[in-house]
Amino acid sequence: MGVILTDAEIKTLIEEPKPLPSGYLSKLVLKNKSGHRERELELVGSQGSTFRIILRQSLHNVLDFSAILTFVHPTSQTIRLRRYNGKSHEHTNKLERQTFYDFHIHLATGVISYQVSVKTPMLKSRIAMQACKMQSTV
Amino acid sequence: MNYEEIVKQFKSKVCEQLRVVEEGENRFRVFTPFIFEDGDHLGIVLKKDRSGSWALSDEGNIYMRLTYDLDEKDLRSGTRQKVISNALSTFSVEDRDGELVAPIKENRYGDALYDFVQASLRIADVTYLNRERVKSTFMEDFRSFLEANINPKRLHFDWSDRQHDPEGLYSVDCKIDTSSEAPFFVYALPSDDKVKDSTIALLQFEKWGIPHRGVGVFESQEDINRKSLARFSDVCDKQFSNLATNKDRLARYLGSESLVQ
Repeated sequence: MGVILTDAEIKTLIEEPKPLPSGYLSKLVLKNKSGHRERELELVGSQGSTFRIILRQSLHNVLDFSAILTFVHPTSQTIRLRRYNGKSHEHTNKLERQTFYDFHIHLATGVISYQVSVKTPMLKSRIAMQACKMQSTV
Repeated sequence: MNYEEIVKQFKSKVCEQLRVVEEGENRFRVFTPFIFEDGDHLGIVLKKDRSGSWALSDEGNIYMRLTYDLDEKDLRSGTRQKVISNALSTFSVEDRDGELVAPIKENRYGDALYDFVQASLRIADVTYLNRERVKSTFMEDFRSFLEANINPKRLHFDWSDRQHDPEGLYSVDCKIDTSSEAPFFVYALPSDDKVKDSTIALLQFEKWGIPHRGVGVFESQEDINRKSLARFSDVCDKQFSNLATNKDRLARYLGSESLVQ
């Protein structure tokens, strides 16, 4: 059976400090693949949790990007805690019946297999910057 | 509700959620009601391609989404590759170096959109063919085992013969120097592909007349294709079916030479 996290556990994981390793910038330089660029970096939080940063960006549209914070459970199952997306497609939160076309963040919730996304129109430039530059405050 | 009302509702609902918005020169974003499991809609652009013809494109988004959970090479082989190829050919969509493109033919924009959506959704579904992406620690365990049991001065990881093979095309996971002329060429074998590559390398060393004793350490020998295993057996001197339960035996075998710890 898959790993299930409660909202409290997700919050704890999000808040766990995740010190970046030395030379992390060079380890996050995106590499070209078919149609997009990508890179991943595994790191260990201050409480010993293992995380993976996953970066993707389309070669055809710089606004089509994903910056993902993934938790790697000790069973090796991965759970996406946050996914920061660019403004390249609409999104619909099915339960809330809300559709928008903007930069947005997918947030893991304690409900199995459901992620809610929040539109970030006020913060769009900052989110884009954070997603691309991966500042050390992550 | 009568029949006409139902049809009217179906049509208006689909049409309402279908919009085309200009986004730039010869570029339009096509909004549709079709969504992925995570709530993201298909990202579709209508634009002129390099030849100056109109085409629908995902601008690399579908494959990019698939690589969240899969390695790109996994999309180019096996069942996933067959599903993708089938979807592309069935709906006349092209894979242009990772960008899905449906050229508009004979001004049939509606048909192209319909086909593009179907192909995109089918390809996106290959993620459900994914086995859980379990990060194997076998390669790390293999290396740690050798470092803990063998004199480090005799270990040469990722070795290749610089004289015969300056580009390093035929490598050995670990060459272990011995007191004889024939060092151990030790291979860590987690997969069919690795077994095949190792077979080719050992054959090449034979051809070059390089003395060696081939040793294969499988992550799980029973998971390896029979034919691959048979070919490997012809060129390898000693095999261990897995690392976990053979550590003592492997240490004794590699330690049978005086220069080993």
